[in-house]
Amino acid sequence: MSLKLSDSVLKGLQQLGTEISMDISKKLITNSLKHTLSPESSVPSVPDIYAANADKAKLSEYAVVSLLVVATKHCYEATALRTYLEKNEVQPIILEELVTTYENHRKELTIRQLQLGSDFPHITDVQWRIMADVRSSTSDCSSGELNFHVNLGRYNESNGARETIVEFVCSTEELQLLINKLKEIERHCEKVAN
Amino acid sequence: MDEVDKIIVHSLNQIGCHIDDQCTMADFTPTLLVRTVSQCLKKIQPLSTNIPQELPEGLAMAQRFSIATTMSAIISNLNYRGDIGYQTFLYPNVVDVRKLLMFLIEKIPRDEVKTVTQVGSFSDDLDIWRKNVKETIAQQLRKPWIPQYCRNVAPARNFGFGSQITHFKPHHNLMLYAKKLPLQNDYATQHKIMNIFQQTAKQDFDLISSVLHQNSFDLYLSEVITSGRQLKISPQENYLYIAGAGESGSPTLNDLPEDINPLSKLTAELNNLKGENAELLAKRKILINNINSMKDQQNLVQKELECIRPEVKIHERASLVLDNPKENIAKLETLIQTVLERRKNLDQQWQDYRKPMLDRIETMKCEKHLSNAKNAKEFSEIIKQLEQDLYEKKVQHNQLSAELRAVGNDRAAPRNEYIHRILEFISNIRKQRNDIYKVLDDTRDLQKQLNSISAQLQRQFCYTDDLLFQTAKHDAHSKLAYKLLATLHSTCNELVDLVAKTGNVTNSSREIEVQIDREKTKNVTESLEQITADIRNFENLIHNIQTEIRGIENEISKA
Repeated sequence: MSLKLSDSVLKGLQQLGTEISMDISKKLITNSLKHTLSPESSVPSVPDIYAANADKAKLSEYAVVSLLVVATKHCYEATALRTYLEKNEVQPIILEELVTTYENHRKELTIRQLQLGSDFPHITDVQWRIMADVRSSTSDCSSGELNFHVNLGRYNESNGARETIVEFVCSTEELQLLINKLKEIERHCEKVAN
Repeated sequence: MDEVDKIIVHSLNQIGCHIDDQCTMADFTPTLLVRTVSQCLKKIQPLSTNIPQELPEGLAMAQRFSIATTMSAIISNLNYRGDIGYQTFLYPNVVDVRKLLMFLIEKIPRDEVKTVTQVGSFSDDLDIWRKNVKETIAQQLRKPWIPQYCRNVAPARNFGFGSQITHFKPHHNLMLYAKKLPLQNDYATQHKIMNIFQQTAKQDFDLISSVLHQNSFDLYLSEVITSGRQLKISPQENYLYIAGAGESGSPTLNDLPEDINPLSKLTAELNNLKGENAELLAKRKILINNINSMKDQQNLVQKELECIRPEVKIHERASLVLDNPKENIAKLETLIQTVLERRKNLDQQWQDYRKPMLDRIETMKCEKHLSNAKNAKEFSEIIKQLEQDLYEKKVQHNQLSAELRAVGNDRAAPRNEYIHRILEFISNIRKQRNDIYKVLDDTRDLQKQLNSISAQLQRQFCYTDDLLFQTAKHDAHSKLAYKLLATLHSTCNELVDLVAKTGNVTNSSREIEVQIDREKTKNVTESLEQITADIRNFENLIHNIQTEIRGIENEISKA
C-alpha cells in the first residue's frame, strides 16, 4: 500500500528546516513524538516551538504526527519512507531526523496504534441489587415478587471511572436460566479442555 | 457371567488378539492367556521393550516359569490389586483370569479400544486444531484470577491484546490554518489556535484517530476536486460544444443584450445546415434505389447468358460437323454404334456382377432369420437363468438382512438391558445397605442394653454381697445364702461367657465357609495335578542335567 499524505501534511513537512529553523524543527519533532506515544497530558509543553511562526509550527506538528501515524499504519519500512520523503522534497537533515525517529520508536508506535480500535463491549464488573416492592399506591399489599437489577460495566483504564455497558432487570426464574446457561459455558470449556 | 466374558472377548478382538467369539474364560489356556496379556500390555505401554510374547510349549519349564514371573511383575507394577504371580499364568482359574483381563482392558487407553477410521490429512489437521484449542482453553482455565488493571502488563509487550482499548474517536474539525483576516495582529491570531495536542486532549478525542481522519479527509477532498474537473474535459465534440455553450451560457445579467445576435446567427446557421442535410439524404436515397435496380438487371442478364452459353456451344459444334457432312455423319454413326456396344457390355457386366450379389443377399437374409431365431431362444434361456439367479439372490438378501437385524438388535437392546440392570443393582445395593445399617443399629442398641444391664447387675451384686456379708457374720442362713449367691453369680458369668464364645465360633465358621466356597471356584485339584506333573518333569530334567554334568566332569577329569 503506498503512503498517501494530503497536501497540508506535505506542506507542513516541507516547512521543517526551511521556514522553521533547524533546531526548533528538531525540538518540534521530538515533542510531537512524545505526544503521540503518551496521549495523556503528562508531556511538558515546549513554548519555544511556537515563539516564531506559531501557525506554521502547529501545521508542522500535525504533519509530523500524521507522517508517523500513517507510516506505522501501513507498516512502512524505513527505506521506503526515506524514498517517499525525498520524492516530496523534504529537507535532507530533517528527512534523516524523521526516518531515524520513526525507526527507533516504531515498536512503541505500533503498540500504541494496536490499542486503537473498535470492539465489542468488554465487561469486567458486575453490580447487582435485589429489589422488592414493599407497598405501592396501586395495591394494598406488594406482590412479593423479587426483581434482580444487574448492572454490567467496565472500568475505564485512563481515568479509572466505571462505565455502565448494560443494565437490566430480571425475575428469579430468568436469573436462574441465565446462571444455568453461564454454567453450561463453564462446563463446555472444561469438557473441551479435557 | 457369560455376557461379561463376551464383552471381554469382544474388547480383546478389537485390540487385535484373534480370539474365537465363542471362547469363555474357562477356555483360556496358558499360551492363549500369555498372548492376550502381552498384547494388552503392548497397548498400555507401547514404549516398553521387554514384554514377553509367547509361552513356549513342552518341557521348556524354566523359560515358561521366567516368562510368567516377568509378566506378573509388569502387571503388579501397574498396581493390580489382586493376587498375581507365575501361578496365574501357568495354572489359571476362571475367576482370576476374568479379574485380570478386566483390569487390563480398563487400563488400555480409550483410543485403542475403539476402532479408528482415518479420513486422510483433513482429519489430521482437524485433530491438530482441536488439540490446540483444547490446550489453549486448559491453559487459560488454569490461570489465576487477576484484577482488570493488572491484565495488560505482559500482553502489551507482545503487541497489545487485552481489554485496554482506546476507542477510535476522531476530532472531526481539527483546525490547522488560521484565516488571515485583515486588520488583526498576526501574532494574536497565530496564538489563538490551539495545537493539535491541545485540541484533542481538551475534548477527550484521540490524537491518532483525529490525525488519520483529517489526512484521509483531505485526500478524499482533493480526489473529488480532480475527478470533478475531468468530467468537463471530454473528447467528443458535442460535449465541447455544450461545454462551450455552457461556459459561455453562464453569464451575468449585464451581458444579456449582446447575446441575442450571436445566438440568432447560430440558430440560422443550424437551420441551414439542417435543410442541406435533408436534401443530401433524399438524394442519397434515390441514388441507392438506382443502384439496386441496376444490380437486379445485371443479375437477370447474367442468368440469361448462362442459359444461352451451352446452346451456343452446340450450335458451334453442329456447324463444324456440317462443314464436311458425309464423312462426319459416317463417323458419328460408328461412334454411336461403338457407344451402343459399350453400353451393352457394361449392362452385361453389371448383370453378371449383380446376380451373385443378389444371391448373396438372399442367403444372408436366410441366415439372419435363422440366427435371430437362435438368438431369441438363447436370450430366453439366458433370461430364465438370470431370473432364477435373481430369485436366489433375493432369498439370500432377505435372509442376510433378517440376520443383520437380529444381530443389530442384539447390540442395541443389551445396552438398555444393562442400564436397567445396573439401576436395579444400585437400588438393591441401596436397600441392602439400609438393611445393614438397621442391623448395625439394632446390634448397637443391644450392646448398650447389655452394658447397662450388666452394670446394673454388678451394682446389685455388690449391694447384695455387702448386705449378706453383714448379716452372714451372725446368721448361718445368711452365710448359706451368701455362698449360694456367690456360686450363682459365677455360674451365670460362665453361662454368659459360653454364649459369647458360641457366637464368635459361629461367626468364624461362617467366614471359613465363605473362604472354602471361594477356593472351590479356583479348581485347585486340576492345578495341583498339573503342578505335581510339572514338578516331576522338573525333577527329571534336573536328574538328566546332573547326569550330563557328571559325564562332562568325568571326561574333563580323564582328559
